[in-house]
Amino acid sequence: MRICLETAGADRGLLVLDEDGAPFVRSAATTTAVSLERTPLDAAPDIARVVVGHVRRTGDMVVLDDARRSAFAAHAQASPCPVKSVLAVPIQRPDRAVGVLYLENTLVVDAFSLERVRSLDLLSGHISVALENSLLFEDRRRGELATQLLADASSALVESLDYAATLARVAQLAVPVLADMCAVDVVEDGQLRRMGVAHVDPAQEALMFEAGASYLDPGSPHPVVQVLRTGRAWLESEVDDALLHRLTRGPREAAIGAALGVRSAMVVPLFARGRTLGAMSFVSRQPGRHTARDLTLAQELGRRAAMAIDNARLYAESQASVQVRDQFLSVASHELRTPLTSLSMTVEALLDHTIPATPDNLRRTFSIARRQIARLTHLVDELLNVSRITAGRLALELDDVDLAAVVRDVVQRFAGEASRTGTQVALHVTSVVGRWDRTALDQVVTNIMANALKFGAGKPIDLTVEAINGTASLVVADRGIGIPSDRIPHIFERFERAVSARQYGGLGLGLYIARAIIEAFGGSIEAMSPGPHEGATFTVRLPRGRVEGPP
Amino acid sequence: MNHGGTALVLVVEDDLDIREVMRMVLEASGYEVLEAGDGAEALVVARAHRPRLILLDLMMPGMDGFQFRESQLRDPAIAAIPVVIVSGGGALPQKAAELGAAGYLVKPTDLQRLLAMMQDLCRDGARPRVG
Repeated sequence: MRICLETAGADRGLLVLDEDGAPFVRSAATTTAVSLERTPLDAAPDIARVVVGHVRRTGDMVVLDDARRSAFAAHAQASPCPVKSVLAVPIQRPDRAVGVLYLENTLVVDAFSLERVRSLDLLSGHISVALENSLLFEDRRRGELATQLLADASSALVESLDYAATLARVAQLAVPVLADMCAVDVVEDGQLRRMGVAHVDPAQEALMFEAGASYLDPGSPHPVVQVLRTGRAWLESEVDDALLHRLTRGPREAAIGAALGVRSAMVVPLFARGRTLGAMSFVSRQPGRHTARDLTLAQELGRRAAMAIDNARLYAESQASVQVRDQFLSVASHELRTPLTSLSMTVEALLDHTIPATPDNLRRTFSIARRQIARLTHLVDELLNVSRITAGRLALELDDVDLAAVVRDVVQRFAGEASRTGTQVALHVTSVVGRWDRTALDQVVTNIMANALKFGAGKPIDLTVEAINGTASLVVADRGIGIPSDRIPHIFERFERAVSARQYGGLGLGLYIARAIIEAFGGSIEAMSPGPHEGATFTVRLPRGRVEGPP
Repeated sequence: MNHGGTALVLVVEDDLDIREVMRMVLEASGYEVLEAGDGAEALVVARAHRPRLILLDLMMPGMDGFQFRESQLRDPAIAAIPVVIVSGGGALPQKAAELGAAGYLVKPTDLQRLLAMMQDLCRDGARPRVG
């Protein structure tokens, strides 16, 4: 640029180059200093854009002897310092224009003599060749950097299934190659979490985490939230204060953005198997830093990161279901062994005369044996029911059934167990007849009642049956050990239990079966617990169907 | 069966039916039986009566068998009472070794093995207290 200034006798020069289809000021020079930059032409100060535009369009050289009296005078006058002479030379390759060399002289009218213009024209030819070479080199260098980044990121991502750690590592790889700062946000349990950040100045990373905490609001105009909503990448290479203000909510957020010096930014979705799992943000402090080409690279990085998250999650899910199955098998075997233990001991003891076969002993042992057979039958029924529900073969025979009568039957059946555990059971029932399957409804009440007795800690249990707005309602309230609030959403799932299997037996299927039957009737079941040791309340609502005859 | 005296045995088991059968069988075999439905109750009963032997279930509500054994070993008054694990869970030999149990029996329990093991343990060392 200095040579150009000298050759032309100009006191200021700008090199405008086309990149990614748009003109950028890549270098600005005065007689004392040359700077390298990358400012979009539209944003560059003090340049006769009209002149540059004309040269780019036509490929002709423009020489203004006296800028103030030319057709482009409007611009010259708007310029803060009066420009006297302007020279704009196209830089051309055989097939296209690649840029414009723009020179000014603010002191002298008619500064650019014919001779100087000729040598400058020659110089522009050299510039274009040199430029072409450097562009090719730059292209290759960029390509290499991109390949390297993707390779490093991929190997970091496959290294471990702990994606929180690998995502933080990928963010670090992207800085400074792709941006001054990078952040990864992932949706976990419906909440957006900032998993990793990287900044060319690590001292700023705390601020980036703070920035991440502020746009959790799903209505936020923040680009990360937008990208999560639309699943489409977002690029803004010119971020000014006004835009920063529009994209953030509240002064604190805008202040963080300003403190980080956000001037160019892109956000890409972390997209895998049809779902947006999160977003990756690339931010720089230099306007115009991020181009469409960078966005493509960032999107590729995002795709790979998303695949890693997806794989890690699938693996965790399959591990969890294997664990649930193993736990179920161990619980199921314990549940089957318990009645078998008393059953086999009574039979053995009678056979080898450890217990003398007196009428009283026979009566006691047989009644124990009968209870164990009932327990085993119930376990087998439960397992069969679950396999029917899983296979979607729950056959219901609808009949006019009184829910209150079913509840009374069940409570009667549990009377022995209630008295053994010292539990008082209070019934508050009015007759509510609906079209239900009697056996299935009995199972629902049995399972909820068994649950209340098991976790009721011997404290009173209240059962209420009534019709509410034409719907049958059953409420079973105990005052036992309660359910931790984080377990409530899970207790109706298969094999689930809110307590340790080591301490409370049961297959963990009762409430799952109850819910499946209730839903087959078109009803709903809800659990509520104020907290540990404050009991639990189960509320069942059942539509009554078409009832024949008076209730 | 003759033990030359009545040994006091504590059955720690949450299942009421198993407890009832154990009581019938052990009483018929000449033992005196104490019962506890969980670990906490077992500690109280053991401290009060110093049984000759403890039959311990592992999976119980409230204080389970593992926690009971920990507390038992911390209390010098009852630490020396031998414990036989009676459980339906897996890996019993390892669990019994970890808990320093005198023996273990898998549920459903073989009656003759139970009685033989009890006889062995009640014969060793001090004579069982005479009721």
